[in-house]
Amino acid sequence: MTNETDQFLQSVGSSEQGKRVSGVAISDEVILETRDVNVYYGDHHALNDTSLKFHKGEITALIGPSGCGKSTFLRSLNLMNREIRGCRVEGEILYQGRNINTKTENLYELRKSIGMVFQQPNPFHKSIRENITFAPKRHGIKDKDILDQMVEESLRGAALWDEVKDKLDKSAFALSGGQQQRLCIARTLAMKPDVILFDEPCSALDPISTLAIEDLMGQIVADRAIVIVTHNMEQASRVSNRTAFFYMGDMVEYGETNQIFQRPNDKRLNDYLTGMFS
Amino acid sequence: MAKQMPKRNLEKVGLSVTGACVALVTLVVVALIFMVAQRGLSTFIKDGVNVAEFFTGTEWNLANTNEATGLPFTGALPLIVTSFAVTVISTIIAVPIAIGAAIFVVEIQPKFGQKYFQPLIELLVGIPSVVFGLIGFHVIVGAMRVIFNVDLGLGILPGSIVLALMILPTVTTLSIDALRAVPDGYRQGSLALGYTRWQTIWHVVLKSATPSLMTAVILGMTRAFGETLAVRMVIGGVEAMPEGLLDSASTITTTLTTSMAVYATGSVQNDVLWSLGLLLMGMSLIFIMIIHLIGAKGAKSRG
Ligand SMILES: Nc1ncnc2c1ncn2[C@@H]1O[C@H](COP(=O)(O)OP(=O)(O)O)[C@@H](O)[C@H]1O
Ligand SMILES: [Mg+2]
Repeated sequence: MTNETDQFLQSVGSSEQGKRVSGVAISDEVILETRDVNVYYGDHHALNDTSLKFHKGEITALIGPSGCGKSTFLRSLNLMNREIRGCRVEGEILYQGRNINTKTENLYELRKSIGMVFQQPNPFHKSIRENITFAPKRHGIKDKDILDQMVEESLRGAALWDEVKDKLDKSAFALSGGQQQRLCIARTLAMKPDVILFDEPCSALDPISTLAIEDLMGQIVADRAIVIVTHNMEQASRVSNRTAFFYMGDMVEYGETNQIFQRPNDKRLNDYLTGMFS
Repeated sequence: MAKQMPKRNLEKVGLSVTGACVALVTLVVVALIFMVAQRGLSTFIKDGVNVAEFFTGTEWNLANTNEATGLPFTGALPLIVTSFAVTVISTIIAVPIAIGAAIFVVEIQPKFGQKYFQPLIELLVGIPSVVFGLIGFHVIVGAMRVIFNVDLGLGILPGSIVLALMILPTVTTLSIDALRAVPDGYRQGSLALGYTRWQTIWHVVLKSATPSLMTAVILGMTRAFGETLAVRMVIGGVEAMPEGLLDSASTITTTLTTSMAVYATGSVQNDVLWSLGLLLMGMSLIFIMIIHLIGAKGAKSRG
C-alpha cells in the first residue's frame, strides 16, 4: 500500500509539470461528433437526439442521474451497442469527419481507434504481458521485439511500468484493483487510439487509485479525445474541460466544465448539482 | 401443548444427530473401500496371481485353468483396453458436440437456450441407461451393419456411440455452466479491443473456461468408464483383445456383471472380479483427483 502511494505521489509530481485540466475549452479540433443520435432497446427509447462534439486534447465528462442514458450514449461511440441484442442506434456518428454508424463500417478496425475502459477493471485471465499484446496480436503484429516494445511503452504510458516491470509474466489478477484498471488503460493505449471512452472507471476503486487514474487521464489526453462517464461531480470538475448533462434520455446541457458547475442554466442540472436528486 | 425443549438440550441433540450422520457415512465409505481392497488384493496375495500378469496378460478365461500355473486365465488387458477405448472414443465424439452446443446456447442464442434447450437437455439426463442400450442395440448396431457391411455390428464403436449419447447431456450442461461463469467483462473487454464475436469466444471465453470445461470432460469420462448396462447391450461380450472397433469385446464393467454370480465366494475367479472392482475404484479416484487438481490450479491462478 505505501509503495503504491509513493508511486502515486511521484506520478502526480511528474504530471504537475505538464498541462493540468482547467475546466475550459482548449481545442477546436473535433475528432468525434454525434448528430441527432437516438438509441432504442427494443421499444424502449433510451436516448433522444443527442448531438455532441469531442475535441482533441480535451476530456469531456458525461454526468447525470443513474439510468439517464450516459452509458448508452458512450457505447454508441465505439458501436458497442451493436453487441447488444435488440439495441438500435440511429443518427450520424462522425469519426474524423466520416460517418461510422453505417452497415459497412468495420467495427473491429474502428475499435482500434476508439478504445474503451469499463467500470469494473476487466483484465483477461492472462499474464500482464499477454493482456497488453492481446489486441496488437489480433491486429496482425507478431514480431516479438515490437510486441515487447509495445508492452513497455503502454505500461509506461499508463504509469504502471515501474510497478510491474519485474513481473510481466505473472497473472494480471495478482495486481490491485487500481493497478488492474491502469493495466486496462495500458492495453487500450497499445492500440494508440484517437479516442478513449471511460465508463465510470473509478467507481470500483479506492480514493488513491482514483486520483492516480484521474492524473493518468490528464497525461494521456494530449493527442486524443477522452470521454468519461462519472457519477462523481468532483471528479468531473477536476478532470474535464467540458461537461454534458443527461437527464432521462435527453442531453440537457453542454458547455465548458466551469460554466456547467458554476453557472448552470437548466433547472434540472442545478437541482442535480445541489443534490436535490441523484 | 408440549413443553418446548430447553435450548441447551436442542443444541446437544442437533450435534449428536448430525455428528452420527457424519460418522455413519464415514464408516460406510471406509468399510466399502476396505472390503473391496481386501478382496481385490487377495487375488495377488492369497491366490498367487501375478500382478503384472493381471495388468498385461491378454487372455481372460475364468472357466479354464492354465496348465502352467494351475490358475484360471486372468489377463485383464483386453478388458482394460476396451474400457479405455470406449471411454476415450465416446469422449472424443461427445465433447465437441457438447461444447459446440454450449457456445450456441450461451454466446449466440441465450433466450432459446434458457427456454427450450436446457429443459430438453435436463430431460435427457434422467433417461435410464437401459433405454440408451435399447436404442443402441436396435438402431446403432443396425446402422453399423449397414454402414460398415459387417455381420454383427457389435463392439467398441457402437458402445462408444451409445456412451457418447449418454454422457452428452451431462457434459453439455456442465459446459453451459462453464461458459456462463465467464465474466461478461472479459467479452466486453475483448470486443472493445477489436476482437470479433468469434475471436472473443475462441481466445477469451473458451480459454478462460478451460479448467471448468476440463472438469466437465473428466466427469463425462468418469461416467463413461463406469457405465455398464447400456454398453453391455451393444459391445458383444467377448472377453478377448478386440481386433478392431467393430469386433465383439468386453469392458471391465460388463465382464464384472456377466461373471459376478457364476463363481463361489473365496474362489480365485471370484477374487479376481473384486480386483476388477478395485481397479474401477482406483480409476474413479484418479479421475476425481484430476478434477480437484484442476480446481485447485484454477483457484490459484485466479489468486
Ligand atoms: N442492455 C440493455 N437492454 C435494455 N435496456 C437497457 C440496456 N442498457 C440500458 N438500458 C436502459 O437504458 C436506459 C439508460 O441506461 P444507461 O445508459 O445504462 O444509463 P446510465 O449509464 O446513465 O446510468 C435505462 O432505462 C436502462 O434501463
Ligand atoms: Mg452507466
